[in-house]
Amino acid sequence: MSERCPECGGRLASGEAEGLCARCLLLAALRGPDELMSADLPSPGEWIGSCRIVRLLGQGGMGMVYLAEQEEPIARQVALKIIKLGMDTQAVLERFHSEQQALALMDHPNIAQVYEAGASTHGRPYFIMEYVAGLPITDYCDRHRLDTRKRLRLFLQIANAVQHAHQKGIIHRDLKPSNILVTERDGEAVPKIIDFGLAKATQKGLSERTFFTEAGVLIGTPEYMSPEQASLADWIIDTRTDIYSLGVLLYELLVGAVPLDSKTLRSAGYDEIRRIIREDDPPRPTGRLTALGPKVAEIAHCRATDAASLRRQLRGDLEWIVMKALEKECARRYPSASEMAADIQRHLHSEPVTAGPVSPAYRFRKFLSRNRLAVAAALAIVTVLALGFAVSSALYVKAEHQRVLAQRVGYLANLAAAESELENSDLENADRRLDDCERSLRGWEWRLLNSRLYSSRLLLFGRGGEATRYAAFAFSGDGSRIFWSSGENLNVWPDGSRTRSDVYGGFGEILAVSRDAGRIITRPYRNRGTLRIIDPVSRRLLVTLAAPGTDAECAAFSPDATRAASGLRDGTLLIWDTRSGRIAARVQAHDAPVTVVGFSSNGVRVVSGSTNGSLHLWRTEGLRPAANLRGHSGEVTCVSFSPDSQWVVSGSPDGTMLWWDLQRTEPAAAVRLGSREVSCLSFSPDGAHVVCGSADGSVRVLATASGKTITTLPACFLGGVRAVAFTPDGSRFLAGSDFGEVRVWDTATWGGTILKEDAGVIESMAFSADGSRILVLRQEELEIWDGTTGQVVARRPPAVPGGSRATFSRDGSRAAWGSYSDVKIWDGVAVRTLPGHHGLVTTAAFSPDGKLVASGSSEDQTVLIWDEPSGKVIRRLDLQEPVWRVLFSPDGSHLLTACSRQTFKVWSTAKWNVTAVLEMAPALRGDWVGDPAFSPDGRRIACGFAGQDTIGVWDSRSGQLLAGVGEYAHLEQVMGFSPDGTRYLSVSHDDLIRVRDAVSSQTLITLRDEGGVRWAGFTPDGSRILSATAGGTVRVWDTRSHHWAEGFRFDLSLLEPPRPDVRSSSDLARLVRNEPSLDPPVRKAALQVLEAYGEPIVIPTVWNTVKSAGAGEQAYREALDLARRLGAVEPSSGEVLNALGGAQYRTGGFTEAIDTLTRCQETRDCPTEVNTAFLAMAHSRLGHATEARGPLEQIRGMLRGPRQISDPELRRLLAEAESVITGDLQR
Amino acid sequence: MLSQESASSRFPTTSWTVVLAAGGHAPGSAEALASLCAAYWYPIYAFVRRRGYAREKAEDLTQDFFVRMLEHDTLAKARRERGRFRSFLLASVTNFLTNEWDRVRAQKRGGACVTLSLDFQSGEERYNREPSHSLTPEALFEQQWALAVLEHVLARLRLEHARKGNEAQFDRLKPFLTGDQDTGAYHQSAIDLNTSEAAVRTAVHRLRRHYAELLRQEIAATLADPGEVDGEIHSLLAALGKP
Repeated sequence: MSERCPECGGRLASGEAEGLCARCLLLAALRGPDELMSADLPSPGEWIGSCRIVRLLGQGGMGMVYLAEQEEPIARQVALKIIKLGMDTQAVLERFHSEQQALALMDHPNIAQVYEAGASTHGRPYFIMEYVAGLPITDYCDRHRLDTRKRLRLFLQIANAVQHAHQKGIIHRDLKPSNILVTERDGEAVPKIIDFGLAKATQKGLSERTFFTEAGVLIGTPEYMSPEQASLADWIIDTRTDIYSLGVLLYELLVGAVPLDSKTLRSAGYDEIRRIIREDDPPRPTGRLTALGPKVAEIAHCRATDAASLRRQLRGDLEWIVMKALEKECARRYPSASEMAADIQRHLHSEPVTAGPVSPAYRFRKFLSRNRLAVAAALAIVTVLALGFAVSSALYVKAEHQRVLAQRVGYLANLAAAESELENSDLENADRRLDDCERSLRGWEWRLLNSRLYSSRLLLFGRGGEATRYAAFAFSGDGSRIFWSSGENLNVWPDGSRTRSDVYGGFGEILAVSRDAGRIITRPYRNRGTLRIIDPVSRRLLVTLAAPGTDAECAAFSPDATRAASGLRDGTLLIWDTRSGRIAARVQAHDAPVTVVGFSSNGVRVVSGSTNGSLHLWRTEGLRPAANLRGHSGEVTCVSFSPDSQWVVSGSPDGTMLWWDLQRTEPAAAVRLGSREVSCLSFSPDGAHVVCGSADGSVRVLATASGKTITTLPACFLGGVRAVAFTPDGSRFLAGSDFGEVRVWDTATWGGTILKEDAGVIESMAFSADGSRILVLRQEELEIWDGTTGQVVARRPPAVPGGSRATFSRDGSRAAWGSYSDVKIWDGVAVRTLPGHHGLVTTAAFSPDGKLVASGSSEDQTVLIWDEPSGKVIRRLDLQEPVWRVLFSPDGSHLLTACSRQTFKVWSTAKWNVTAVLEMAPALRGDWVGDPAFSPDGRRIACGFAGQDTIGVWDSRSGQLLAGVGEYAHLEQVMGFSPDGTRYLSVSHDDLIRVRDAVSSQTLITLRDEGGVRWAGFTPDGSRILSATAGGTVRVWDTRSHHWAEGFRFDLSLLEPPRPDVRSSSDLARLVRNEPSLDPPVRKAALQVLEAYGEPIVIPTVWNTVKSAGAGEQAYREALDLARRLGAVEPSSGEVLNALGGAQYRTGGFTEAIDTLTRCQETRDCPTEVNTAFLAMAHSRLGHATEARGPLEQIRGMLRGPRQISDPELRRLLAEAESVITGDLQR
Repeated sequence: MLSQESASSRFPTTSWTVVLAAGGHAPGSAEALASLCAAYWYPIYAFVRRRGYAREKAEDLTQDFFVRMLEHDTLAKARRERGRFRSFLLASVTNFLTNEWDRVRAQKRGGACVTLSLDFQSGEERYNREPSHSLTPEALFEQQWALAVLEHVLARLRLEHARKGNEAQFDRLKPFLTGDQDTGAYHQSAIDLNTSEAAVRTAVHRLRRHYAELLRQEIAATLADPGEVDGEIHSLLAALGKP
């Protein structure tokens, strides 16, 4: 039950402040008692200044707007705006009057005039303005379904109006759709900008906290606020602020959403909102469309087009224009509204625009400005290092280090760009960025991104147009073939191959595919009530399912395909005998259209869902009701039964996923994916996982037991995900998208896997040197886990609470920790007690050779050094301060002791004297946090500090502070170095794990965990990072699938640019085998990728040869040979047929070429220009004058017409065709 | 020990300024801090719960956190955040959760002595009613803080009316705190309270003024610089988000 506030209309939370609206209560205190009295708000008939009130038009953030009538200076209708908030009326009027002259100079048909300002008898400021009876521009455009071009023309008028105002020296400062009203004059849409000059008059100066004062008002529209407005830097606001707002407006007009996600902005805190506006780069319009998921269809509808065409319209020019206006730095935006308008004009005339993709240099600069602190720290280190070298070479050293530093910063810039491109699903650019990363600097973070980019093992391309909601996968009984039904076509791949062997289509819509794809259920486009069962291979109609009445909405086969189910628009559910085509059972299942139906794995039960959220379970025989599954509030569009038929999982476009234990009728678990539509679901064959595809292109794998997401695969598709499935053996899973791409993942290598769940609160973990065992310290017990599986190998019984963090001996055979006045040593079986301290033992550590144990106490303030085998104390170090951590250097030569406050000492383990005291600086104020760590070479020590959120890095020999790196408002704990010493980890309370550069402390990559990260560490081989959360989840960040990526990347490098020595896969394989630089696992992966992708990988080679006229007889013969082999495995690919036809033509087989090229025209992906050119030339050579003459006109059009081809390669071919044909015709 | 009610009634005499004076060693400082903590424990509990801790754990942590706040010289560490008790508390609790917890546990074995009686039962019930599952722990904390401030103020208003035997009038007139209601609302209230419309208008006016004073007082008590009350009200507004 939620009521609404009568004042602001906001929803009231239950139990909120005595049932009153908290917002209004706070606002009331700001306004003071008199402001709230409605008595002084005018009523109809009342006079204010020269106006008589007619009626209230509306209420905005700033105040109330009335329709009023004026007699003087002329009789007219006006809009009267009375400012509501408690503002200094005098100041408002002064500011207004100072601008009034300029305002009066504005005379533009698209600007509503402000006539005058004054103060009411109650002392409130008011403005009298031209009355505009219109709709906000966005509403107008949507209501009239204006297409993109019409929207651009409207926008041009607005940009010109803004330019006019800017020329008169007036900045609007608050441009947004509600301030741009569209009226119609003589059937023409006329936009008018209102409120010009008001924002400035009603804004207080900076000293009066502009942003704060307006919090109740301006916070209402942070979406349109420019970065400089958000920075509160009032003095830098100029005309370019309006350009930014114009950018937001254009974005919204084109895409139907504002650039910075409103939801994110609204849920963020005040400072966060400002940060987002100033720092977060908005997604490009097409990226935004993708992220909008299911809403896109409606958005496209409002623009009189479909989603795919809208995307095409926006890609390129328009995106660049919008993004240029939205630059954070105002100097990078259009310098004026007229320049922006000019670019839009150019786009409308298809001329090149001035806006373009952002240059790498700019990204680099932007990166620098964002990471100023880190870069400064890196520079400091360079200076420190440079000073240590001989003076004579100082100049050289400095130059050399600057080069190194520049390289490092460039590496970081590329890395950051690659990560953001990955997030934007721009795989091509992400790939380029990763390639650009300096090879010698590549480390863990690079491998992680690389493995994310190629997280899927295979990418298949289904040729069959856009997929529908009926898309599905199927597998042949012997597992040798994979089927992908896009909803219209059935694609077939031999398992493991990228080469599609067949495609079947032309049956109408495919609503269902039997388990082995032997039969399909199709629905004709005309008669949607009658379904057909067809054998797709023979194209034979097996039986017709003629249902009386309404359209069929969905269908499914029973596992053995003897039965089919169909759901109708009127809510009827039918079971069919698939042999006779007779109805076996029917029931009025739902009050609304049936949207989804599915059989249980044993075929005994059927589940059906509907648009109204109802979900019912039935017995297949007789369709007797078995259960009513109540829980969805929105449409149910996908269901999947577990393999044991005990569970059902169902999903809805509202982002809800529900698990049903069929013994009960309430959902056993619910997962809400927010705005991500759940578009398809599938259980794994062992029932342990569910894979879920979303409309935003992401794929998630969830654990059935907990309902938790185990991994989210990056938004790897351009469109939404339409179908997901596991292979029958469970070793891989597949996802297919809107645009027909299919990706295949190995279940073994998916990223960010959960190693263990519900493991209790984990304090810390430690690895044995070979990584085979993990020591886990929990609150009240110790466990030893298997390093790969996470299974518990041994458990220290509870009851003896650990007083300190536990550590492993290097070989993993023993663990040590502190207790009260004892040190405990555990070998996995028995516990030894070493008594000797007086008070709580806070820390214990093994020396690397395992012979010594060091322990420290916070109460007796000493460190004891024990001979571990004998259990005797060999040394007592008196620290005279509570001791919290002891730590041996990796070579065992030194011991670090960390005490309360900031005392860090390094001791020699030979003489037990202090060799260094770590230098402290003002930047390292406050308590240190977490564990200090040695770098693997023992030369550096790192530790985090709470006071200024700083991490210190020291030289362990001199104690000199090398770097103190500040981070914005996050406490970080250092968590240890990577095995190669080039990286270290930190975790912070906001669930971020940072991988930092050990030299400069720059953050290289940030991993986001959830549930309170308490610990993170590298595995001893450096391939993975493990993290543990307060909730007891242990996650693995794995870079091992990086091998696939590297292998694939190498294969590609052999193909681009095409090389003369690469003519087939076997050539490629030879090169891979002979390449000395490849690591063995990468080489293996590269070969496997080649094998999987097969011959089409060399299409470019064939094309490269046949495209030009002078390659030589021998080359053409080889190309023909290759093309024939391709044609055999991919008979329906337009690309392949064109290449084959081209090769036939080049080798003189004109008749065969005509046959091949004609067949090519029947494929969906026939490249028209190439096809036309070769076909016309072949006809011409054979003297078919008529067949050659027609295409000649086409070819001339392609070369010189209004939509001429720009690709130089194609132009060359077309020019060749033109000259060949004209030559032949003349003869 | 301290309950929420007794804390709020003692509230006017204390303030964050008192706590901060002399680095936390001024007379009455500890008591002032204790009452501030008792008044604002629920936002902390909601924050801890939202960070993913189960109920029992969250109760322990909340308790431990306040005990540590009260027993230790935490104030000496408050630097940037000391301007606002709200920011100070949030920074302290995040720090506590990340870092200090193990040390606190270690020290507890040496014998802890302070306990606060916090009504966790009602806290948990309330937490379960929160609809704000999309909020970050920090945002939830700030939102709950804003609500806690308002609750204290309204509780005090109610208490003061009750003392004068005017509780019924308070209940009838409190909706006017947020605005003027429908036309005729004054008239109807006059009938309900058996008085004249003019008297109702006066009473509403007084109620509003008094409410605004109390709110400003309550907020000022959590600030080092009472001149920042307006700024803080805007921050609280922002924390509540859009209607």
